[in-house]
Amino acid sequence: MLEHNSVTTLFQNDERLRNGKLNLPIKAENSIKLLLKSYTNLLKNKLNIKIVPVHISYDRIFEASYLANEVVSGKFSNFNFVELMQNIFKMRKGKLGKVFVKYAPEIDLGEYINSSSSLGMDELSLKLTRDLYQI
Amino acid sequence: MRCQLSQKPTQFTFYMLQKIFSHLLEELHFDQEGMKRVKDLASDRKTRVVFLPIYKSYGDLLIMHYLNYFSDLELGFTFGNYEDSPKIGFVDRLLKRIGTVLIRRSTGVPEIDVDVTNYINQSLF
Repeated sequence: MLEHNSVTTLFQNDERLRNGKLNLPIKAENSIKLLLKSYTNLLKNKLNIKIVPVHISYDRIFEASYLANEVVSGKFSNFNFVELMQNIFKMRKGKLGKVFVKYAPEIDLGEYINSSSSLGMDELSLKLTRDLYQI
Repeated sequence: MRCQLSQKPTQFTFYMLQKIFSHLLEELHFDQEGMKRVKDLASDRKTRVVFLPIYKSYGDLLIMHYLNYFSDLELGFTFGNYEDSPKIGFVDRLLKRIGTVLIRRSTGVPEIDVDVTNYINQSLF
């Protein structure tokens, strides 16, 4: 499960997308800022950090009804384990359709930072956030 | 905010996920060439691979874990979103046992941001 700790997953955005559109972000995501901070902390260890953007697309998402309520009310709607299991097994078989997962070509974080060395940390995080959204 | 990867809960979780996905999904397609590329990268001891998916659904986290497990790739640690995830005790405990850390991202408190950065450092180191 953990051989030499080579794989980490970090979600780009802070909240689930509510409108279904991938607009270019106007500010940098926190996760990108955190990743860049930890990269600068780990420079002395000479690790190659490769970013692999992952695209997951669904025909239908599981919590569509909850999302619709959240969009209308603006409040996060929570549910318990029993409701979760009821929702899963009440659904007809194969209701969510097909799921596609695609791995984009990797980006070497060190090279990326060197290529845009004139930018400050905030500008760099915004640039990386936008580049990742465009992939 | 901690997690622990352990074998038995992981096996149990993936057995459950297999049942749930086979019930809910028609098909699950993934990019095998991309996965092969990732495996090649991950085989180098000096390379760390960071998956950066866009968070669209609660299922994203489980699908990423399931594909890593199914393709015989290391599970690694996952940093989820605490604010935007269902707070179900049993599920949270299982997620912790398969290496998921639910972090608060928009705290605005510098000390907590430092802690979160340390967690990411530790997972990459």
